[in-house]
Parts: sequence; structure tokens; C-alpha cells
Amino acid sequence: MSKELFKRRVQIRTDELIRHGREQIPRRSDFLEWNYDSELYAFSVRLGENFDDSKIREAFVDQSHVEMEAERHRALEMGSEDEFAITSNDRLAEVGSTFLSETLESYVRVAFPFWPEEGVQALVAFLNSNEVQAEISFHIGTRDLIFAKDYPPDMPTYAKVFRALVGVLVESGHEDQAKRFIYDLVVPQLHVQDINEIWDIKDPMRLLMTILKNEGKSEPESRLLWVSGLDTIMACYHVGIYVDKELIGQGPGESAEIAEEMATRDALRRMFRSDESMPMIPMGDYLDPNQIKAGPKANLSASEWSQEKVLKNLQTI
Amino acid sequence: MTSRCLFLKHGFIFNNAPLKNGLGRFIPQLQRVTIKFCKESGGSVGIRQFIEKEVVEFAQKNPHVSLYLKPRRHRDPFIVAEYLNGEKHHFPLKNKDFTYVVETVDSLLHHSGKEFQIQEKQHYTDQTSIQGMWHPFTHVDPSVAVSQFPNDQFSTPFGVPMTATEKLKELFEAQKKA
Repeated sequence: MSKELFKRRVQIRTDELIRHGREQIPRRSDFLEWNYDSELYAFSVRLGENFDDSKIREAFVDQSHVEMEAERHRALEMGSEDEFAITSNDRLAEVGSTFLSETLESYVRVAFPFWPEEGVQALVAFLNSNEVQAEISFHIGTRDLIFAKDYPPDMPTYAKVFRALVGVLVESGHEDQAKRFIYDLVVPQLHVQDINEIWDIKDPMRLLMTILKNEGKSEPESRLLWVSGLDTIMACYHVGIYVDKELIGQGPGESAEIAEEMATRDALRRMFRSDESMPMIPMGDYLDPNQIKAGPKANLSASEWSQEKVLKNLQTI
Repeated sequence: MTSRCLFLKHGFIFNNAPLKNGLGRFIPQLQRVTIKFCKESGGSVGIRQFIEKEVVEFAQKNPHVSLYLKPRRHRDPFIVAEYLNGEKHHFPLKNKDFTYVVETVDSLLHHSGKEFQIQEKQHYTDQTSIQGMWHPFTHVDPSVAVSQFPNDQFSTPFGVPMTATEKLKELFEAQKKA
């Protein structure tokens, strides 16, 4: 039976693709069984938040919907447009966006105290990106609640609604609640992500040399540790970086140059405490919001980074 | 085993839960339930009993689910469950009794909404090895790096038992010493 149903689904989809050029997904709110109030209530309960009723309605209205409605009223000639004016979520999204950036910045600085400020900004930009926030927005169930011209809404619309939801919490005066909301939904998106890939270091060797100079150590020395499969397509070089006869990082590569770069990146990972054996970043029950102070000092920038300075800064906090 | 299993999707798990659910806060995944039933026909008896006895309690216990009842004259009863991942699951409940309906609704409630599929791989991990990625030189004796090849010591395979000739030679040597 399921095969029969699937066959029909495919037939309908092909038919729509030929007729309209794309599959037409019916708007869930056009169905007979739809009650917006009850959906909104279920939405708040699902997230465990008390959203302000009038504000949360505003948070779901996209600018495209406002324009569409205004045009409809103009066409119907139903009197002045101001009477039917609806507010879009632009203002709330802006409030939420500012709050999100501030909160995430202070979180990342506390969670990665050994990371240079450049890396912190890269992580914050990743968490603030439309892709990540649209994903969160979709998975908390905003798809059917959004008032927008397109259905399903496009990625920026999803992300904007999520920011507006944060804005609702901030505007209602629940700043702690808003912070918890961000820690619980946005921060876990770092899980499984390779954070060393998010912050792309352009020239790792130069950075390593700057740091060693700051720490008053001698220049790094690359040594070939292992080599196998020379002159084959499976060649594997293994390079180690030594400083004052101490191995600080090692890495494999298909050529000696690549292996050296990998080793340098490994050394930097170990310095910034973000190697494979790093402890889990605090989230969920393991996160104490009181630890994260509002607007802490920026981390050291990469050009003046040294372990001694970081440890000293950590003691003063 | 029926032939229906042939048409099920095959696959494996590649992420643990939608949106890393539970790492921050837990969000119940069932979003919406529509119960479609007939008020008269015999096929909907079980589902009508469920509506009489259980449905209010179900709605009270699960405020995160928006519940819709949709009576349709002389049509088969269905339960449609919608999940936060955008999936929609249809369950035909014609001629099913009250207990079956309760069980179905219960299973819907605890489902993640992922499409049913036959698991081809039972293992999944979020964490790569904390010791780093394997490379050909993991756990290799450092003396290998400086030794000249061919080398007797490193060329003999591991775990080869002693041959009878070697054993005899060893016994002969021991005898000579004694």
C-alpha cells in the first residue's frame, strides 16, 4: 500500500513540475483544520517560554506579507490604508539581532578563553549566520506560523523570525530568559562542528612564529618524522614541529609542504586548547549563566597572543 | 513477514536528533495531530471510543500538541501526525479497536518524526576519536624510523608459531648444554 501511495505522490509531483515548473506545496494555514491561536499556544508551551501575546504575533509577520496585504487593500479600495496597517517583525528582529550578537560574543569568550579574538568573531559570525538560525527556526516549528508571501518561507525569513522571537523576550523584559533561550538553542549548534574549520587561519606558520616570538621562544623547526609510499600516489609524509627540542605539533600530508602546514595547525590547536581531546563546551545543564558576565573584555588578538598573558587574564577575572 | 517490508526505505542514522535536541533544552517533536473519523460507520468505532474516553486527557497532558478532530461522513478513519522536522505521518485506523488506537497515539507522541526506515547500520557517534585521526604511523615503534631495510627484526610477521624444525633445534641446543 505504501508503494502505491508513493507512486501517486511521484505522479502528482511530476505533473506539477510539468504544469507549473515547481511542486506546489499547499499552505498549512489554508487547511480546514487550522486554529492560529491554539498553534501559538502550543508553540510557546513547546519551547517552555512565556511570550507576550501581542508581540509574538508581530514577530511572525514578515515584511513581504505587509506589502502583500497593503496591495490587496488598495485593490479593494476599502478606505484608508492606515486602518489595516500591520507591523512587520523588522524592529523586533533588530532588537533580537543586537542581543544575540552580544550574548553569543560573551558566551564564546568564556567558553574559549584561549582563543584569539579573531577566532571568537568567526565563531560568533557562524552562530549568527542565516543558515544556522534558519535551521533552528524551522526546527522549533515556525514554518506554518510565519506570515510571508512565499510558502515554505525562504531562509532569510526563517532566520529573521528567530531573531524576532529573541526580540520578543528582550522587549518583554525577560533578559535572563532570552539568554537561556539562546544558550539552549543556538549554542548547541556548535556540537559536532569542527570549530577549527570555522575559523580559517590564512597563514598558520606566520601566526605560530608571532606567538613564539611573543612568548620569547626560539623559532619553530620542522622535522620529517615519518615517510612512506614515496613516489606513489599514496605518499604520506609526517612532519613534526619542534621548539627548543620540544615537539609541539605533528601532522600528516601527501607532500612535505602540506604535512608541515598540518603540523603547524596542530600546534596552534594545542595552544588554543581546541584539539581533539578538548573538554566539551558548556551547554545545557552544564552551563551556569552566572559564569558569563555581560560584555567581558575582548580576548587577546592573535598578534599579541601568548599563553602567559591569557593565564594572567584568567586569574584576574 | 509481509511483502510491505520490501517497500520500506533503507538507510542509516547520520545525526542523533533534529537540532541537537536535548543538548540545550528538550523540545517535544510532535507538533500537530489530526484525527479524521466518521460519526456513524462501524470502521471508526475504536477511534470514537478514544475520542469519548481519552482525547481530553491527551490534550491536557500534551499542551505542546495542537489537536484537531475532523469528522468526515463515511470515510475511513485516519490519524495524521505532523512533526517539527516537516514530516507528516498517516495512520489508517479502519476497524481498529480502542487499545490499538491508544497504542498508536502513544507511539506517535514519542517519535522523532524521522521517516521509518530499515537500519542498515546500528552504530552512530558524534565524537571523533579524542586521540586524533589514525595514520600509518600511529603506535609505531620509533626505532623503525632509523633502521635500515631489509631488516630481519621488522620483516618477520607477528604471531607466527614456532615451526617443528625450530623447536627441534632448540631442544638439541638445550641437550648440548646439559
